[in-house]
Formats: sequence, C-alpha cells, structure tokens
Amino acid sequence: MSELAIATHELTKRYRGDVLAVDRVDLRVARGEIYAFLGLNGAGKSTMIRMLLGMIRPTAGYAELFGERVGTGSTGLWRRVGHLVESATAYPDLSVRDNLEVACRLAGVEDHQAVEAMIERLALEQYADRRAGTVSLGNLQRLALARALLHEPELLVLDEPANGLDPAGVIEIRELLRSLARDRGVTVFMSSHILGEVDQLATRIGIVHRGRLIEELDSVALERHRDRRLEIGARDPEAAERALRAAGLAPARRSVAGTELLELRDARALEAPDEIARLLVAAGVPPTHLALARESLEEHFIRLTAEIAGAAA
Amino acid sequence: MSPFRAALTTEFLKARHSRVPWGVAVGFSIAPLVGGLFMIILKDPDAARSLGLLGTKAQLTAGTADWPTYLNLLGQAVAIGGAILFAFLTAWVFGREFVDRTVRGLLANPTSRTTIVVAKYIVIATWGLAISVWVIALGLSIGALIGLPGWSTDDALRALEGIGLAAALTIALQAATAFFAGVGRGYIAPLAWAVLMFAASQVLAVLGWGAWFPWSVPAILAGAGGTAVEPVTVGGVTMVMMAVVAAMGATIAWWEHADQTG
Repeated sequence: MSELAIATHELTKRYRGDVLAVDRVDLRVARGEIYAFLGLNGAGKSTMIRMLLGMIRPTAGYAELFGERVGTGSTGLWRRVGHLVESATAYPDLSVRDNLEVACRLAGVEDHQAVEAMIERLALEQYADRRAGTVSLGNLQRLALARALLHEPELLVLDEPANGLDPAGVIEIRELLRSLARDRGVTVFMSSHILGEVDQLATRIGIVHRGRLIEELDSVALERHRDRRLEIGARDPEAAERALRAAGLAPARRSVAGTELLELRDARALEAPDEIARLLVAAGVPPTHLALARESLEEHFIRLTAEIAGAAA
Repeated sequence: MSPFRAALTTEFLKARHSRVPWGVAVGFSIAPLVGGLFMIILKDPDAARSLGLLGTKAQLTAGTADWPTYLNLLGQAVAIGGAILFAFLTAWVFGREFVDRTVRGLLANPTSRTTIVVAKYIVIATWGLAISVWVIALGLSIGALIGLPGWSTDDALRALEGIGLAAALTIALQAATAFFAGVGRGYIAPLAWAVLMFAASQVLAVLGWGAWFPWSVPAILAGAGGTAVEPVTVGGVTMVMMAVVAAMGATIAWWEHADQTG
C-alpha cells in the first residue's frame, strides 16, 4: 500500500498554441497531510487539479493517487476521492437535497441516510428543499463541499474550498477539514487564494509559478524561511536611524500608510528588542512603536513570485 | 444499486425536474392540432371561411380531408418536427452539463463516463418515443373527433408503422447532436448541427439522394415527398444505423478522452 496519497512524476501539460500550463511537476503528498497549492491566476493550479482527477490528459509524465496511475478508466479510484473543481456548481432546477441524492447514487453510496447526515453536517437543513439555483453562493459552496464529502473519501481535492463563504463559514470549513485530517486521516489537497486561511490550515505548502513548482515547504520550514524584522517608529526617524547605525546596526527605512518606519533584521535586534529600546532612549529618540513582525504567507508568496519574475526579466 | 441503474435514475430525475422535456412534449402536441385544423378546413372550406379560419381568397392544396392525408401529415410532422424538437431535447440533456458546469461532477466518478453517456441516450430515446406515442395517440383522437372519412385499419397500421420507424430513426440520429453538444460544450453547436442537417436533408432529397442520406431517410419513410422521391430501401436504413453507431462511438470517445476544461 502506497504511503503517498498523491504522487506526480514530471507531470506536464502543454495546450495548443504552445501554452505550457504545467511544467514537469514532481509532487508528493503523504496520507493525512493538508497540502496547499498556491499560485497566481494562470499559474497552472486548476490544470494540475484537473490532471490529478483525470479530467485533462498530461502531455508528458503522469499522476498517481494511492499508488494507482490516474486515467479516464480509473472509476474504482474515484470511490476514494472527493473533489471540488473551480467554482461550486449544481443542477439549478433540482433541490439541494436532490443534488446530493444525484451525487450519492453516482458515487455508489448505498446508505441514503448519508444525504441527510451531510445536510446536517454542512448546516444546509434550512435550504435542503430549495432549488439549488436560488441559494446563495456561500450555500452553493456548502452544497459542493457536501457532495465532495458524501462518500467519505480518503482524499479531498478542493479548489478554493472557502470561496463565497462568510467569515464564520470559513472557520467552520477550516475546522471540518482539520478534523477530517486529524481524526480520520483524510488527505486534503487544496488550492486557495485566501493565504491567511492556508497559513492556519496547511501542514505543507507548494508554490507554483508559471507552471513550475518553485517552492515546497512544511510548516516548520516555512517558519524558517519567513522574513522577520523589528519595526521601529520614532518622532525623529532620521535621528533614530543615526543612533542605530552608530550602534553598528543596519536599519532600513520603509513608509507604511504615510508613517516612516525603521526596520532591523539584525539577529541582535530580533533577539533583544528591549536593548534597542534602551539604546534609542539613551540617544534621546525614544521609540513610539516597537514591534517584532513576521512575514505573512501572503508577503512570502508575493516576495517569492516577484523574485522569480525579476530573475526571469 | 448498479452504476448503470444509478446513472439512469439520476438522468430521469434531472429530466423530470426540468421544463425542457415537457416543453418539447407541448411543442410537439401542436403538430396533430394543426393537422386537425387543416382537416377541418379541407372538409368544409366554406364553413371555415365563415368562421374566419381561412382567408376569403385562400385556396388549400394540401389534399383531401381523409385519414390517409391526415396520417401522412402526422408522419411528416413527427419526422420533420422531430428532427428539430428532439435536437432541443438532446442539446439540453447533454449540453446543460456544460452550460451549468455540472459536467465536473460526472467526470471523476465511480460511475463511468460511458455509463453516463449511455444513460443519457436512454433518457432521450425513452422521452422521444413517449412523446411520439403521445402525438400519434392525440392525432388519432383528433382524427376520430373530426370524423374523418376513409379509415382502413390495414392502411392505418401501415402508416403508423412508417411513422413509428421514422420517429425511432429521428431519435437515434440525435446521437450526432449529442456529439456536438459535447464538442461545442453547450447548446449552440448541437442546434446548429440539427438545422444544418435539416437543410441538407431537404436539398439532398430534392437532388434525388434522400433515400441514402441518413437525415433524409426518416421523413421519406414517413411519407414526405410522396411518390416524387425514391423510396427508402434496407440500404438507406442501414446508412442511418451506421451514422448512429459512428456518432455514438464518437460521443463516448470524446467523453472518455477529450480534455475537460469546462
């Protein structure tokens, strides 16, 4: 039995017109991981997801789920996989319940209580008998997630799972996915634009840019890769900068919303911000703002993709 | 529940809840009603004029008000009207999956894509045949209600056999419409295909090739063109069946192997 839920081998997709959507991606996702796949629009995330689900044939390379090669005839494999590809969709003239009933039958689920259980689990009771075409985007997203979870899959492939959900819904789905991974060992492979959400949920992150997997980090490595800095505000930034330089530090100036800030990345400053405060007080420029800041995943992502773009230019 | 039964019951569920199949049934019902109206007018043109059903100077050349004429009209309505109305039904059954983007839920599924395509064909065939039976039954009732003369059970059975065969072949030919619903990912391509085949069937029938052109065969079998066109032989029906098998194969191959980006 393969320990990997997902493995891709030099997976490549070139569309007509010589558009290279996915370029030799080697990906390994272990069982029980929550893997977030990040990238700008057009980076190749959706093509990658569709290739994993056998919806698009690779130009070269191949994908495996649970050690089985993905192909159009992999019907047995799909019993173990739940998915939500791009936006949530449903049959608009069927009720929410009938939409789930359709999914239930096609997934080969014999237990019809599964539909009612999923309606309850995704808090869709109020909308169960309403036509899917009339429910809000958030509830449509809940319906799509319910459909993906209906047959209790071992692997969830979710494209933007928090799309259209309100803040409470985002937290609810985050907790649901986390508990599925923790309690039932479900593997989650997700793409998301809500990087703050990914930051809180993913155990591993892959960043894709122009079809290539440019960085893959687990939460520990991500923490290590993140830019950390000490932010300092003062009434006289020039004087503060002079004082810091005189102490052998290398401050950088940055303007944030019209306020001049000094940033220190020296290990000494990061380890002992109190010393910096003392130093500035002694120099007669006491700090008005002193904070240790950590690069958010969003900032890390933007910095990395900008570096790649800069290197390519 | 077997995957095939699952696919079939879900396709019927979708059809039952949509307005389109019912709309096709209602649209088709107009054929025997209009046919009946023609018969009333032909039966007594003066009475029709006085009732305002016929313009004072209009002359009708459709034939006589009797069962053979009426059944011939009914047959043409099923074959020619069916070519367009069944195409609407097919464009909806296949094309809606792309328009509503629900096709994504049908692709990576324990129920195979081929099973789903076959289930869709069966829904179209069942619905199409049910509509045809309804139209024929409605037509016979209207004919009886008007009190048309010239009934002959043998002639009527022969005519109904032709109509039934025409309906079955028209429905079977929707396999090609289904193929274009996939390739065109929606409604426009299959309907354009249906209109194109409708026009081609008329032109080729006029040119004398109708008995061999699959899309002309059903209407000729139903009596369109009368004695002016070459009758359809087993060879012509074989051509239809070959076109149907090729279209079904192409549709299944497309669903199984084409890149699904919608």
